[in-house]
Amino acid sequence: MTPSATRPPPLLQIQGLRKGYGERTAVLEQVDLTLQGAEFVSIMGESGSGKSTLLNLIAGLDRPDQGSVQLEGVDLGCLSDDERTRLRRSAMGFIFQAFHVLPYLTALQNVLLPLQLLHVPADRGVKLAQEYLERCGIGALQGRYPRELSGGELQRIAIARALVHRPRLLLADEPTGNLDARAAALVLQLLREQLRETGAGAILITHSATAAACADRTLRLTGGRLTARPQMSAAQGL
Amino acid sequence: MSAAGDASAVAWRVLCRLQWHEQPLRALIALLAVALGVALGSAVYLINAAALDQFNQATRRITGAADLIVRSPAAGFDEQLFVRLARNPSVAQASPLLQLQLALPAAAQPRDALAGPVLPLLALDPFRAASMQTTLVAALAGDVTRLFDHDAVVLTQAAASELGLSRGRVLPIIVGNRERTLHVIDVLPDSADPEPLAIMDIASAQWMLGRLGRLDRIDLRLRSGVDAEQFARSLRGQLPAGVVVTTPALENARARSATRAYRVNLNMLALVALLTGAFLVFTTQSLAVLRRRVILGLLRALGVTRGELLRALLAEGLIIGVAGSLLGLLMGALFAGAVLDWLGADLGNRQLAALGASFALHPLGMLAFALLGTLAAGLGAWVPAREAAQRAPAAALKPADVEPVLARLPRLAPGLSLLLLGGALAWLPPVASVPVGGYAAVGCLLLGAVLLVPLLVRVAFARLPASGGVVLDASVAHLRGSAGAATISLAGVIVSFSLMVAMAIMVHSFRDSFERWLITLLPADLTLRADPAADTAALSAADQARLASLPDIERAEFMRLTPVYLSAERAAVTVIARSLSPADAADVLPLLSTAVPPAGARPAWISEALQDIYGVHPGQWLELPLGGHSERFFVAGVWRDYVRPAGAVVVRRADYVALTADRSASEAALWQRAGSNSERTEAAIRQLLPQSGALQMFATPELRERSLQIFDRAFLVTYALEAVAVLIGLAGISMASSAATLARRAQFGMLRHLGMLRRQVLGMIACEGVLHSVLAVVTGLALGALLSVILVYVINRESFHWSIDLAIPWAELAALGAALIATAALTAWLSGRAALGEDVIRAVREDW
Repeated sequence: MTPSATRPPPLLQIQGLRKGYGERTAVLEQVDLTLQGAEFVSIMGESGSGKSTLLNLIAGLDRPDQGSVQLEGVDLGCLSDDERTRLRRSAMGFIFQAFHVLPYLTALQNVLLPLQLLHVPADRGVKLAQEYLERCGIGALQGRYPRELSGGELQRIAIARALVHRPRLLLADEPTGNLDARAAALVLQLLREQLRETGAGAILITHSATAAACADRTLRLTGGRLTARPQMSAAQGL
Repeated sequence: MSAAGDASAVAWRVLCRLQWHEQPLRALIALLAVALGVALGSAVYLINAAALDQFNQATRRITGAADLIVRSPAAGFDEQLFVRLARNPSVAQASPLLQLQLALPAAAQPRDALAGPVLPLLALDPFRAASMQTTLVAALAGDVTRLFDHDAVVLTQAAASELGLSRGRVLPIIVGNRERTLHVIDVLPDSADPEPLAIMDIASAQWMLGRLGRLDRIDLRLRSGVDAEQFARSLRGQLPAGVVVTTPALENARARSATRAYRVNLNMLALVALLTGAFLVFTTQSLAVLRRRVILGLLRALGVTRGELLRALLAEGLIIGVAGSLLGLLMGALFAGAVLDWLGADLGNRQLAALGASFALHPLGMLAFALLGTLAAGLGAWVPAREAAQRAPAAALKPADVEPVLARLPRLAPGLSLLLLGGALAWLPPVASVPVGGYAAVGCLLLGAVLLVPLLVRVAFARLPASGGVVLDASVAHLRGSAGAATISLAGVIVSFSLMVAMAIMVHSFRDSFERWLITLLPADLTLRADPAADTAALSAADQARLASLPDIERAEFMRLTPVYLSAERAAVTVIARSLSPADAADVLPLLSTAVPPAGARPAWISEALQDIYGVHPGQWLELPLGGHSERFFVAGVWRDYVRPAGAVVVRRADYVALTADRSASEAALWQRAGSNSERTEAAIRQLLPQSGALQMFATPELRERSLQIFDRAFLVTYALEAVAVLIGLAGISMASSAATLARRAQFGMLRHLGMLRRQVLGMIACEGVLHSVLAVVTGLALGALLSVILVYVINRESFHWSIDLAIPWAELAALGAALIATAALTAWLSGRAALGEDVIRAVREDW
């Protein structure tokens, strides 16, 4: 048996990814990225550089023109829409800039949602959701509705929801974009802690150097390609 | 323009641009809904106005310059009365008249009609009428003495066209059961009278029609200085029983009051369409406020005051109202013109027939409808505008703030109060035969129910247990959390569905009662009858005897129907003389209540209309003008009559003959011997009465079938107006559903990110549609049933003076409910498909 046969596939492997819209020049020209398990990568780039397009392709929400995205060795391009959705449901978690918590559900019900989609029994699901709300420091707010909460609290709900089903990969799109500096720092710290505890890998899309500095490594998306960016500390980013 | 005005205008421009550029279709549908409501209302109003105008003009042409009219229906009165009145020193001119409906041979009878062809006749003295019916007499060209020929008749152009006759041709008529002929000596131009009318010399008419020495009308012109009212009062005491004195104004008022209830009902249905249009404006504006809440918050943050924002949003609704109203007036005028051209002014109700009614614009009435449309749209826009203006800008700008609409409206107390008030109003007595209390009760119940919808939504969905299925649970959670927004779409659906249910129950109840009534009233195998509208056709005593002795006839019963006046202000009541006794009255009449007559008393059974209009009840005495005298009858019972809204009274035929010496019959019920067939019997009757053209013969099943066809036709306009209201309601459902679904695209995008399958999201949306519509159907059924009780027992009873028994069309209601649920689910699913397009993923990046 060769060493490569025993080595588990990387959490995420992107090869030769290309994506364009209509007549426009390709947004992504040649993107390659490998993410080992529990690695936290941040991607920076200017507006319109294709960060969100890349995130959609990684999540299987969009199809590339060329190249492949493999999650734990499974090529997303070989899966149907339903199969990609089921994979996303079990293996991925999402955090959005605008939080996107459902306004008619309480904090607890919002966090329960991914577990319900995975048919986790209700009593176990509630315990898990309560545990993650506690971990995120908002256990006392579990019965509150989104309209009663602050932006920072809403983003904590979003983090709890993104992690409650123990995804292998977390995709965060500008998670601190709507928060003040203090709330952003708290959210990033929480995110970092939770990733460490759950052992999930993560990709963080951000404009903020501060936020990017929280990751294990930082990449820059320019001209449709990912390039390495010198690592700097959070303090440097500030 | 002031600074405040400027800010309001700026806000308005920003909002309008959003509304019209982003959602032009929705605003257009709301505009069309208002237009449709105004169009229906104004069309019904214009058609009614045309019919009444026509009736007024016809009355004016016939009554001419008369100050007073002395009249008696049917058999009329002795012409000595004319001599007496002509000699009265207060009377300047008296004109003797016969005003009858000539029975014509049945050749031209339409297949679906129960009535045979008739032609109105005015028989006059040309010299005396010259100063009264001036237009008519002036139009008699040439030598008027030609009219003195015993068989001479002049026709109006409308009558000549309808009968296909011209000058010099022969007009066959039916007198008794014999055919006679008249000669058309002239045809008058339309300018003389646009309606069908025959004119004869009075003496010739008396001779030809077997009414020698009889008149049924005298027109009087009084000397100057004589007070008409006072003279009429003095005259009333001197007239024979059954002869009344009226004024032309009173004649018009009688026509108006006789048809008022039907017209008010049609207007109410048109208003329902307008109300539904207002709901649609409310829905559109509420959803527009919801969609643009961030913009509204931004405008407030930029310095637009609450008042300015309120005015800007209100202006949007008012613009929809004004534009919709103007379009509606145009549509209404065109529609009214087309209906008058093609259908006439009776709108499916033969009682209202006003031939030759022509279209005319009535600016004031139309302006009222335009204002009503604008007001309805303004009201629809005001509630969401007020909510939006009162909302704190910070809250409006905050993400996840999507449930503000109707949040602050107090609902439980006013909702319950309105329901109770509606219940109380239903008990109020009618005003001038119009069930004002009943209509107000319907309005209160509808509004009360709408105010209770948010509470209903919360209670209904709070009780639903979790299913464990993410799709259903997510749907229920959304419905629980969006009671305010649900009210917007549900209110319109509940209102239109409950009205649909109420109308379906009322019409079904009416039809069911009518069918059972027909079975009671038509027990025989064959019915032979003279046209109820014709005054000149009848079966003689000899004819009756011959009919009864036919070998195929086992039993024959004859009836005499004759109109009498019980009051100068009201239409004639029909006296029905038939063979019955207090002991068997319940078997032959659909009796509702009875009283045992004292020994020797003449019994009479009155219809509900007579009871209501004249306030006479069982156990009381009723004066009937028969045989020129006022005769006392004991009211032995009240029966249900769906044919004569002016009232009817059944008396024993023996009493009638004894009092009037009139042995003729206008209707015969014939029972065949076992084994004989209808066709052979009908052939035998035709052989026996070869000239019975004006006597129509029906096999009972055929008569019942035709009666039901006429019933259904009379409700056609009702159905049409109801259908329009329902269509507007359904448009509201689909608009509300699609707008609400599109507004949630970001939510759907997020759910797709979380791993919800596309079909699961669609299933969730469809589930919400189904749950919504199930609630709407259940509530609509309950509310509709409540409304139907008011329609059946209050509005129908007080409008038309006949009772009906409540009967629920279960299968029809189940089908209606299922159709609504299916429509809602389909609409929700289609909206969901549109909302879940390719770019739904990107919707999560939109600020919502």
